Amino acid sequence: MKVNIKIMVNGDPYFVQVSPFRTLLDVLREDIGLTGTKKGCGEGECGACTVLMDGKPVNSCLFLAVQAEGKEITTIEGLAAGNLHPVQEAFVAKGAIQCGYCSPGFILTAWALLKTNPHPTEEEITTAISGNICRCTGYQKIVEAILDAAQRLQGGVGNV
Amino acid sequence: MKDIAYLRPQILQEASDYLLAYPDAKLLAGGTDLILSLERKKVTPTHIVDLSGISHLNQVVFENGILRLGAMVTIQELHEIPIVRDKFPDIAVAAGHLGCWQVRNRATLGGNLANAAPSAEMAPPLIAHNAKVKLVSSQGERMLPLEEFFTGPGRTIMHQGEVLAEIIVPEPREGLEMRYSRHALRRSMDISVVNVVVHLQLKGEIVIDVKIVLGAVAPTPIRSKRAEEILVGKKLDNILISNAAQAASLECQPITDVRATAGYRRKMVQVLMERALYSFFKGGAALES
Ligand SMILES: Cc1cc2nc3c(=O)[nH]c(=O)nc-3n(C[C@H](O)[C@H](O)[C@H](O)COP(=O)(O)OP(=O)(O)OC[C@H]3O[C@@H](n4cnc5c(N)ncnc54)[C@H](O)[C@@H]3O)c2cc1C
Ligand code: FES
Ligand code: FES
Repeated sequence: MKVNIKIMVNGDPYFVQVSPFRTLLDVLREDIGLTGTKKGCGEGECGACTVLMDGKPVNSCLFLAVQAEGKEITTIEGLAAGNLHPVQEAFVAKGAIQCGYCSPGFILTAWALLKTNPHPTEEEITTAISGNICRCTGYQKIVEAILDAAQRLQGGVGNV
Repeated sequence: MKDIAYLRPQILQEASDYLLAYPDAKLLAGGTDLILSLERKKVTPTHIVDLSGISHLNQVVFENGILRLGAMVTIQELHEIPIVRDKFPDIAVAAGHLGCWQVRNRATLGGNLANAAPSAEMAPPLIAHNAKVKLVSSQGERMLPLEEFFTGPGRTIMHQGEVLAEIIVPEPREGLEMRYSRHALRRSMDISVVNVVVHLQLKGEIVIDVKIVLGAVAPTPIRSKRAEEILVGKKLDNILISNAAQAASLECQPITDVRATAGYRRKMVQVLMERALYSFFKGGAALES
């Protein structure tokens, strides 16, 4: 049985027909064509598939697409309006990206944190990103990038 | 994969009707346990009954000294809600240890309890608080202590057609202190190897009330009644603490699995018990993680 649903992604409505057991991750990537959201483990462990649901980070691999009806989904494609988003700029400036596979997930988690907590401590940052795994950077540069992003979002330039 | 039908009832009775009509239907809350089981084909339901359309299941009400938590309240909400942090700090702390932020934003309290993992994070503090669960079906409803809810790993006392609707927690008595501690192999994103919750009240140096609940060290979360008996009515001193900690570690029935051996779990129960009990000496020491 397929279900017709309307999902709001990055402010745009999408009408899709999905099987109830398809994950939001697969529907975003395969049906809607937004491949910025990555699939790592498929089991809620790595955070590569993080999207925001009504502003809160969730794992789209542990989320059935049918559950997204009536929710606002934000993917990495929805963050930059023309230019890079300040959080993305901070990740570039601080060298917090190597292979980049984890970056969409980290950036969305960081953005969700900074919206509710504009001046996080390092400890609050590491708690917030504990569901995101990076196999390249060793995390320190990611933490620095999020601290930098906090400054950029305050209108400061950040210490590049 | 076989065809699955998706149902999203608006009222509880309707959800119950579906469960009765379709014996192989499964309830869906946040999905953080269920979706993995679907993908691994551990469960193969014919119908998924999504509880998210039943609006009152998200409610949190604190009235006349009673906290009522709807089954669909998320773990992140439990971690953040001021009344929970203020009056039931061990519940808020336990919630903060479940999974990671992404998981907590989806995972629900009802799902955590109904899934009935021996390590279910939220069970020990709620049992220590004498929480009750309200089970609703189209035939009626019943209330029972959470302590009687679990019957084995992945098994509960719920009948076919019953839905866990609400968790009811009385406000702790004035002067009761609470400690939650967990041991996991990693600081975050890991299921507990051992969970220990101690509720204790001292009058001077005498223990006048105590409740001890252990998680992940038996087929279900358990009270350590022997340790409670050892402590109550006595002066809290080194020997008493050591005896109570030892009793708890003997009373649990841990298993060996990928995370830890049974012997290691027993030892950790003793260590966490001692730490928790010593912390009452200092009076009001922070909740441990
Ligand atoms: C990466 C990761 C880390 C995790 N870490 C932890 C951890 O540290 N500690 C921990 O305890 N758990 C952990 N979990 C497990 C899981 O997130 C929790 O058990 C969660 O609370 C389950 O809730 P849910 O709403 O997602 O349940 P679902 O997956 O929707 O449901 C779980 C089960 O309960 C049934 N059910 C759900 N709601 C009801 C209801 N109201 N009435 C009757 N039956 C119902 C469902 O049919 C299903 O069988 C983790 C999971 C992941 C993916
Ligand atoms: S792909 Fe979703 S958490 Fe790894
Ligand atoms: S940059 Fe490669 S995984 Fe993080």
